[in-house]
Amino acid sequence: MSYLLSITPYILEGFKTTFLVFAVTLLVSLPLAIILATTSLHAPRPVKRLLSLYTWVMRGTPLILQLYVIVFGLPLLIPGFFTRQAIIGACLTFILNYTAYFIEIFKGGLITIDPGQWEAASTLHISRFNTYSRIIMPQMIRNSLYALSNECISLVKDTSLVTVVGIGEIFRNAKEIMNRDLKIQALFIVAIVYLLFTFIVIQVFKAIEARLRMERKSL
Amino acid sequence: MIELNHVFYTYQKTPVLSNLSLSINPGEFTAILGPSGVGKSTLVRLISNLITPQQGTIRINNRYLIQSDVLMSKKERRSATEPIGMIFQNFNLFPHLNVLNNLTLSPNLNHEDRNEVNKRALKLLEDFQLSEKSMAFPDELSGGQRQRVAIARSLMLNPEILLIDEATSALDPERKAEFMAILQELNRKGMTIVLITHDHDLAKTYARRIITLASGSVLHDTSLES
Ligand SMILES: Nc1ncnc2c1ncn2[C@@H]1O[C@H](COP(=O)(O)OP(=O)(O)OP(=O)(O)O)[C@@H](O)[C@H]1O
Ligand SMILES: [Mg+2]
Repeated sequence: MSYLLSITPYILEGFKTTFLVFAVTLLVSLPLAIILATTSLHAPRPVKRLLSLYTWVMRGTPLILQLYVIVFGLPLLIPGFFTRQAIIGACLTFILNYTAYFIEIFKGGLITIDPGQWEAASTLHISRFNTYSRIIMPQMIRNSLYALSNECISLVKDTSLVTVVGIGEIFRNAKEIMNRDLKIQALFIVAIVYLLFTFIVIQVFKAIEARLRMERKSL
Repeated sequence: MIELNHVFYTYQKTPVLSNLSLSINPGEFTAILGPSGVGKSTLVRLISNLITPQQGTIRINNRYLIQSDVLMSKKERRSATEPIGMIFQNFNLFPHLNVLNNLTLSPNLNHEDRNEVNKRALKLLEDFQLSEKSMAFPDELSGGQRQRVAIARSLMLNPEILLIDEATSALDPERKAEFMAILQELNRKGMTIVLITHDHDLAKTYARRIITLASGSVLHDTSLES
């Protein structure tokens, strides 16, 4: 027990990085994907093509490869780039990767919206911008919630990949302790932390869904 | 006043309206009849500027959507359609907004006074026996209620002309009669009503003019004025 207590602070120290990657990715990728998905709806064809190419590349190659390319590959191309701050490269990779997934999720939420919504908005003299922001976007986000919650759980676990580019996060710190003490307990602590983290993510999404239902009943 | 002159409309390759001319005077209650696929919806979609014709002239209260084959700018078309309200067959209510917000969204976005907008909406809901449903969402309403919300929503913008595309087909006879009574009342107060329907009897009972379309233009135009 005292062994567990003694190793926990160091492992949790790594959780800061885990959470940082998670939070930064969500905070940047979600708004970006919302904007890109909705504007792609009426974008000129070359823009749509470019966006499809982007989501294909990001979803069609392993995240671990993307991490290598951006954290180790880019500095080779551009000397001095990111070399001291691997974490910036890692966050950038996660943002690029997750934006692609989120765009596709939101697109799925968009295609289920009845085109009649646009027509109704138009005959009510609602501007195109307001139609996007007040009618299309809210419905898109609602339609996407379930898929988004799955993706966010994946994100929690994917953060452990940053260890391959030499960033100390919770998993790496635990590995160090395991190799030092030749004891497996550290891994259990990691598992518990991930489970707690994903539990919270699931609860947050449940709360959002419940709130949307509550609005229906009591507003 | 709605005027269409020599209007042509083609979907990709399917010609739908060809050389259609008609005019509808203020205060008229007009029914538009015709077989399925003849272009009735296309006609009202042209008038409400949801689609634009390839040729012809369309004028609403002296403002043009298209004049002698020349399309007006978006802005001009937008202001030309200001007097027009439209009710769709499936109503197209906003599913994520409750009834009250369905009504107030557009006026609020146009920066009208919020209190006044709210009052107007509540009054309309009361008129249409929807007061208890003001906080309900569209999927919690019956077909007849949805339809009344759709009318109330378009009335929020004080239209002079109401275009109604096939909005009665899904209703039972009693609801139909209720709906038509609402339209009659609006018409009595001076609103121009253009009602698309398959129902010849309904048209004869309520409308004072029946326009029948066939192969892309007007086949019959009958006034029932007594
Ligand atoms: N978006 C579209 N693309 C291609 N063709 C279309 C489109 N909408 C309608 N059409 C065609 O145009 C013709 C007229 O359609 P419209 O909807 O105006 O008919 P309608 O008279 O309203 O028929 P209904 O009584 O069945 O509603 C039909 O042949 C239809 O197939
Ligand atoms: Mg139709």
